[in-house]
Amino acid sequence: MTLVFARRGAADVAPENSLVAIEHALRAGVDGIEVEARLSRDAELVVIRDASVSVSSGARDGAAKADDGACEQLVLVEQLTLAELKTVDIGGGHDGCGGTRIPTLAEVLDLLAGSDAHLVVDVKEDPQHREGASPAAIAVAELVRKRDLHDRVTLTSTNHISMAAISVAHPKLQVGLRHLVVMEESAQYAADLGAGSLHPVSVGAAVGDVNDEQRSVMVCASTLVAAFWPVSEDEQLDQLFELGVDAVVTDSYQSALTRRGASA
Amino acid sequence: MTASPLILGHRGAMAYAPENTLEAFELGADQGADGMEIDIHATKDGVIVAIHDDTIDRTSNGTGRVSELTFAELRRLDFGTGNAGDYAGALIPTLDEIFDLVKRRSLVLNIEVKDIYPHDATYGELARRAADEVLRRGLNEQVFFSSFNHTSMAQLKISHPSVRTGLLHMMSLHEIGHYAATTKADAIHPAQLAVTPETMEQARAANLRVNAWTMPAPFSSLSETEQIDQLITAGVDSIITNIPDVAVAQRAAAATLSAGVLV
Repeated sequence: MTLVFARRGAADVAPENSLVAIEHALRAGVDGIEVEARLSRDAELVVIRDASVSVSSGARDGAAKADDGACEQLVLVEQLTLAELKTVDIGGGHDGCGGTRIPTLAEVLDLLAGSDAHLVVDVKEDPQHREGASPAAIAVAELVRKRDLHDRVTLTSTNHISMAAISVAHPKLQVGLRHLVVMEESAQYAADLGAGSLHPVSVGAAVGDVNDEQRSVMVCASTLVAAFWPVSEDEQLDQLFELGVDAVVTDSYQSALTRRGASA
Repeated sequence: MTASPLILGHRGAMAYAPENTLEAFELGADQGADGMEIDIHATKDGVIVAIHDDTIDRTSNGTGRVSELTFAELRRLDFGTGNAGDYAGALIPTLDEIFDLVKRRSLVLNIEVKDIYPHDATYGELARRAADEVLRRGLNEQVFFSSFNHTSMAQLKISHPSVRTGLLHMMSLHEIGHYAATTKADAIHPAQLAVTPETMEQARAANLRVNAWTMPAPFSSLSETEQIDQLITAGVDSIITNIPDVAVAQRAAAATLSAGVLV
């Protein structure tokens, strides 16, 4: 059976990566959630996709006080403290969601404790990070260990060098490799690195992983979002279910659940 | 002596002229680029043409899939309107025409094979057909291939061992020398973000060339000029960029600095 993961929670009814969106998706019956995590300036893991957020200058400690007006500016998440990030309202685009806050990864794990759903945490690596495990990956690994949630959480990244280092340092942690290419002998590559799953983004990338005859790892495939791909989410889901991937990560989780139900 | 790194215009000179047109390739060469990076697809009647997307919607005044249109149909369309500069009427070029240009102006050509669309059965042959032509024309010293489909690059190396292949990637690959060896590739084609000291070291140890490309926002928080600077410092073999004129100037500036002839 193909497992269904809601990308960033139920982003159709609530702000993506919010606790409300995750609750919605869990109630809809998904097998898991995929979220993105980043480190704040004070080393707290926050769940947010974009590298920067729009904050009002008044909310920032030490921000240019010369600015009298309630001026909004884009600031990198890594340059803001958790307290500053918690002033950001991410509910603007959804009716009745005003005042929604960016959750911490710890808050998301609290929420998941009440279910048996799986969580894929995609760490957005600091682009300047060069060697070994990245600080964000280490922080996720330590949080998962502290909560003893090794069987419930998978850590993924496109930085495979970081994932290789983290799998050595945290052998109990489930590690997955995100990629957007057709890889050669990907299963062996993942196994050598200590990863238990491949996370191809796009149908094309998934084809390579599924066709690998040595396949011994999970293939958890993501659809490509509309901005990057002219093929509809539904059409991509049809292709991924036909390929026989182990899991799909999609915005159209309802549609995927219907397919899963039909195939079960 | 050829300057290093090679500067290749991305799809010609993407910041200044309509992508993947002869006009753009000529402009890049005029700006001092050593050559260009192009993308190839096959038309319904099997002609190999330079175009990035699998449809013509974004870059021409027509619509439809490249593989469902004949070359004659494509050739009637305008691929120049809506771009910077005065390029109305620019045509979709054939790979043959591009090879002629490469030969005439002694350019370096990176052919990115767009064989990442599983819905198209013809794409399996695309790289091999282009490689046949490279060898027939004796252009193997000037042309190299790349793809996001690493399996297709591995297959090309089996059918055409002397043709040079490269693996395109945005992610940072673990032990890249070892990984690339599974495909017998000659080069890696990393996005700027994936060019780490570790990757450079492992690529050098495995005798792989490093042909890197700049990334647009929002994928990179660095400007293209900053990315080019970092790639020159990292010591890559080629830089694929939208602004070849700027990259050529930055390369010259870096060479002047390292030669110690500070003015």
